[in-house]
Amino acid sequence: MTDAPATPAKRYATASDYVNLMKPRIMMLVVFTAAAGLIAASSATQTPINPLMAVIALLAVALGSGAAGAINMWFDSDIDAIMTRTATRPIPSGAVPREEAIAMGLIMSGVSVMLMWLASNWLAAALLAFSIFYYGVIYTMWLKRSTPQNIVIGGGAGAFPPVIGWAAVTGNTPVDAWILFAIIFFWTPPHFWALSLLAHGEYEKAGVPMLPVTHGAKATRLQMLIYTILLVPLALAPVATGLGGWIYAVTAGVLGAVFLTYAVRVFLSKAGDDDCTGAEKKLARSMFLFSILYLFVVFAALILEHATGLYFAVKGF
Amino acid sequence: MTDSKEPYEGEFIPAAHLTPEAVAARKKRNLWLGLALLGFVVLVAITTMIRLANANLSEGAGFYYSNSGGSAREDGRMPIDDQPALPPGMTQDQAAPPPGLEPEGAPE
Repeated sequence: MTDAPATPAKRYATASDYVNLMKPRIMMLVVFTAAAGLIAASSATQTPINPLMAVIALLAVALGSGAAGAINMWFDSDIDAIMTRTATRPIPSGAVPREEAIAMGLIMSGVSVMLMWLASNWLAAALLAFSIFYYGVIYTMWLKRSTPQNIVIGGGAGAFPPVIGWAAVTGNTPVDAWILFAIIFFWTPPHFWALSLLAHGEYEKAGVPMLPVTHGAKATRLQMLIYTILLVPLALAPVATGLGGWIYAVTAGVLGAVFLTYAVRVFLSKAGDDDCTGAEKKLARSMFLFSILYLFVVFAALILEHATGLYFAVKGF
Repeated sequence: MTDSKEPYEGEFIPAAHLTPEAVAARKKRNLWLGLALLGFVVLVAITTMIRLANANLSEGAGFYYSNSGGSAREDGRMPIDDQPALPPGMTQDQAAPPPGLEPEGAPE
């Protein structure tokens, strides 16, 4: 009997592998924020949109997000195989060949942009095409492996959906749409770095220059605090422009205060340091999870106000 | 010295042998691909129908979709304000129909 290494059994791709290739959890957040932009635009500008066209436009956003995810997984399959957190993804696990992933990403990119154009207008389609390019090429192929500010600049890709949703209704992108963009843009660094504080060893192993790897955990915690301090008042800007009413103002204010508390506590902790305790790791993880809740609820408040007629303007602005 | 053997003479390319699991996986993938294509066709058809329903197809107007239902009136004609400009030198009075000769379908 020989001790030959056991070869892993050949795994055949299932439908769920192809779904996972599209990063469905990111897709949910993308579609949700795009829906918020779409609904807020329709209500704030009194521009009706055919409900079927709105659904198809959101489907196009979902497909575009999935396309960008597939391109990302195609390009990053080498480093995904190194990191424990990502080693079970469809490509490194051997379920989906790389060629299929890139083919799927490119075809879906074209289909999503075309659908968006058909369902709305050229501006929304162009913004969707640019956001796919931003995530798939600018972030994935260029920034991610070259600068510790990768997720700050790359965060722009995830911030486009509400602008796309707004443009799909009105055909333009006023300041309100860009405020929603800025909220997601400034939310991304504290959200993502909270996770990378916990997984910086993995990124180091894969050679990805995440901020905790290049500048250490302390510098990362400070940057997280700075971005959160910028985010909290920025999230109240829609109240000043009249896009957000009382429900939005209270929601963004209360959740912003909690988010800021988390950022201060993480800043004062040793989360991400070699000698950090289990409680401090748990704190960083709690901040990461809360950040997801924060964005969902803040945008849900906007949807609630504009979709149900519960908008009550805040006087004094 | 040349090789007198004809190219591929006597060579045999065996057919790919797939395991039952591989065949089943391929069938499933093909089914999903087919459904995705069908879904795409349906979506294009729906958007086209909605665009056509809201399109202003009157003379002088382009095939333009408007989210707000289009600027055309119910009879498919453009509102007076949106009609093309009069030729140089012609006044609105000259362009107007003679008294008593109202356009068809005009409101009472």
